[in-house]
Amino acid sequence: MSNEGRQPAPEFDDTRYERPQKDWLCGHACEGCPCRLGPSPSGDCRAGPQCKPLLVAPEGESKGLWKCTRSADWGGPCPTGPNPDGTCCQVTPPCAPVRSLRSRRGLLVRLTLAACFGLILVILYGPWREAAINPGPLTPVHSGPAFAAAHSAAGVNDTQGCVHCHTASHRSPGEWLSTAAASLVPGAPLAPTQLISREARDFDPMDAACQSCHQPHSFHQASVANDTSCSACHLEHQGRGQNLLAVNPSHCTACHGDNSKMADAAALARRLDPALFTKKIADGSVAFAVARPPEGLTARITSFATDHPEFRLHAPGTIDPNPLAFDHALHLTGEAIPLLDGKRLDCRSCHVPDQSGALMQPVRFALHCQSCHDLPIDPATPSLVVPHGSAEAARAFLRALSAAYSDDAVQRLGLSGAPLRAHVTEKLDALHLLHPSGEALERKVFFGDPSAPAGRDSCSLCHVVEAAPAGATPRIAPARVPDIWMPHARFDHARHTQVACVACHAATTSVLTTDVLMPAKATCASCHSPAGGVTDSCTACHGYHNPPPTGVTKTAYLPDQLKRALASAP
Amino acid sequence: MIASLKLRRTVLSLLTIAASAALAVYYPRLEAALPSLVYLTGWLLLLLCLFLTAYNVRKKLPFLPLFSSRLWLQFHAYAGLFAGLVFFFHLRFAFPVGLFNLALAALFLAVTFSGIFGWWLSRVIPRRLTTAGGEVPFERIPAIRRDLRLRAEAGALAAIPEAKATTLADFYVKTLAPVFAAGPAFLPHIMGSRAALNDRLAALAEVSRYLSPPEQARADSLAELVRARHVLDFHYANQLLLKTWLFSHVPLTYGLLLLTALHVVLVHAFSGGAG
Repeated sequence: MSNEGRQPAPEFDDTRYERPQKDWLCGHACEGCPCRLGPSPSGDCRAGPQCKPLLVAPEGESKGLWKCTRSADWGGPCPTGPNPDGTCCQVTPPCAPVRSLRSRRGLLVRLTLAACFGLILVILYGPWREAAINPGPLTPVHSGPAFAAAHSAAGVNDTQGCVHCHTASHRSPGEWLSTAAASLVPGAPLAPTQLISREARDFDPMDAACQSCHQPHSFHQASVANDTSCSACHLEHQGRGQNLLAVNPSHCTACHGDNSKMADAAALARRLDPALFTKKIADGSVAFAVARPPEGLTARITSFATDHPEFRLHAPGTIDPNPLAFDHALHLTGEAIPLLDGKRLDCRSCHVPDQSGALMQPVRFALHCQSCHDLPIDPATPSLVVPHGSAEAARAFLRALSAAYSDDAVQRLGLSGAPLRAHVTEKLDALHLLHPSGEALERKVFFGDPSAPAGRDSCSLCHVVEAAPAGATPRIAPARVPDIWMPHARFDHARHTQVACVACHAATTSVLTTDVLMPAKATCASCHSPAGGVTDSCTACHGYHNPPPTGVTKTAYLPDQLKRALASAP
Repeated sequence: MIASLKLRRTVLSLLTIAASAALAVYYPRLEAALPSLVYLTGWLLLLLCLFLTAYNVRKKLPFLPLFSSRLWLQFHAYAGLFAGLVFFFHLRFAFPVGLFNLALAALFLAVTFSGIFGWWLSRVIPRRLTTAGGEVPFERIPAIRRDLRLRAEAGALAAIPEAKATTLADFYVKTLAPVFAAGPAFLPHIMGSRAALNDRLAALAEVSRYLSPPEQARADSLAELVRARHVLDFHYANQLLLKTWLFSHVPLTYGLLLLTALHVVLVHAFSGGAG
């Protein structure tokens, strides 16, 4: 093969034995002339005479000739021979042995290990231990002087309150080792079998620390066999800006996507008091009531778009029980509906968001209905209207019309004395021509004019009015509009302002009050799905924690073991 | 075992790519299915680190029938790349927080990148050395360097009686003797620079105009020795680099293992259920 201009390999004495694996090399090696013997294993130079001359003397005499004894390996006897004093003339000059590259690397390894070990000792026993091993800043609520003052253990090196959650933190590193080993034994939270389990960690000792402040623990549902550890969902040490409420939806589907767990929960639910499942809502709020299935909400769910069941308020036979008669379609699209401030009515004419923007304020007659439905009794005096809100008040008003006309005249016309009395008499006479008697007037106000098309000026236009025995006030069924339609979910209108109301609420085609105008699941899933591109996380609508019903506390609740036993009972 | 180096390289590359792709594709599903996935990736990373470190142990135990070192090196390289990917999944692609975790992550990255750098060197330098020619064992270089110096001195001295002039000898003493006596320059040879060689040869060519024919022959021999010395220095610098990158990779690896052991203890001692 041609060298192609490459330098040929230099010649060298390949009979010499190099010792790259030795720890020490001859100090003359870098000069290219190492001694043949090389340093000792401990790095001492072994240079010296190449032989030990032998005195050859005739028998019986002490004087003789010194003979070279250099071995053949070293070139055999030297030509000059030993010195006259019997010392060798071929003395290898001494050197300062140097470490081989391999030895230097080994030394560097040992130095690095020593440095790391020293660093570990400083970390474990130094004053910065807590700061050094802290895997990340805590959220402000779980850190700071106030937290430390409230939760630090007395008498131990715990300046940040770590011991409140990590009981091992103030112990010695040796105990950490035994604690770590204990966490790996079968049945322990971090045992290998637990790591490959699909289940989130059970409620564990650290959660007791959480509960010492977050009491009482708001359990999920009474039929859950295992309470999940707080730290399984709420990850701390992720930075000061970490949102502890942001939970990975996989924690939900770990149970709700598991048929066996849902079957256990269903079995347990059938054995428990239904009162335990009462959803607690804000005082004074009215929730849309839908019967809870005996087995609870235990359908298998792996994602919102695919197998989340239809919202229960759309279950067959479910109607809006509000007794008020209201035609959404007519109000939104009817040609006969008068303009309001020059505009046609729209959803926002009646439905106004609350302060947070999340939910809608209740529709109020005075604010949203009265401008059209103002209940006048006298066309000539439109300012005189029947009060709304109480049948008794309306009836009392109708029976004291002279006082009502008088007050109206005083306030509106500024009359008094004789002119006032004449004005009232005139009005009452005119009204008498329209309504022959007080009973007829009351009947018209409460029940409308049976001889005329439905007007806008009687209670029965919107309310169910039941006739009462003679002399009694008719009963008017009040409107019952739920404040919360889906108590097990939450919705924020403010975050959906880019969507038209009618895109979700089919109000323009609804003519009956019994229509449930809440959107169906498919409507929500059109956006809240992987295809829609908007989050379909469980926590977007649902919360895990479910405050217990009034009078039920965690301690009075079933312990996990009993729940498991109940679930597995035949 | 596959005998062909290239075929083995192809197979291992495909296996690494397949394992990495499987990890990337299935990780989101595993994350949804296994709440303790971060612990599993941690254990996987530890096992990979131990396997990677076992290569160094294997080299110290050549008498054991544990496959060839070349095979181990190949596995070491591909497993190291895969470990780098697992590391980022273990971190969940977030920047590590906390002083200790930061130090541990920095150490892991230092080991990984020093390994990749060494792998690159082991692919590049042998080719450069082969191209340069003059192959020589690293340990022999000082002796050969001395031999070259002695031969150059002898050649320069031999020119004096032959030419009855000291021109070449004077030139040698002034210009070439310091070159042959000095140690090798490191950086220029790593950079592949031939400037110093060209300067010396140019100087030799310059003085050749004043030399007699016998001295010319000696000067040509000196030029050859200068070239040989250049190649020898080139070998020294590159082989030294090939040996010394391990000075960062190996010590850092053992340091990483030590800190990893502490990390495992801390995680298990402080993690929720262990309280």
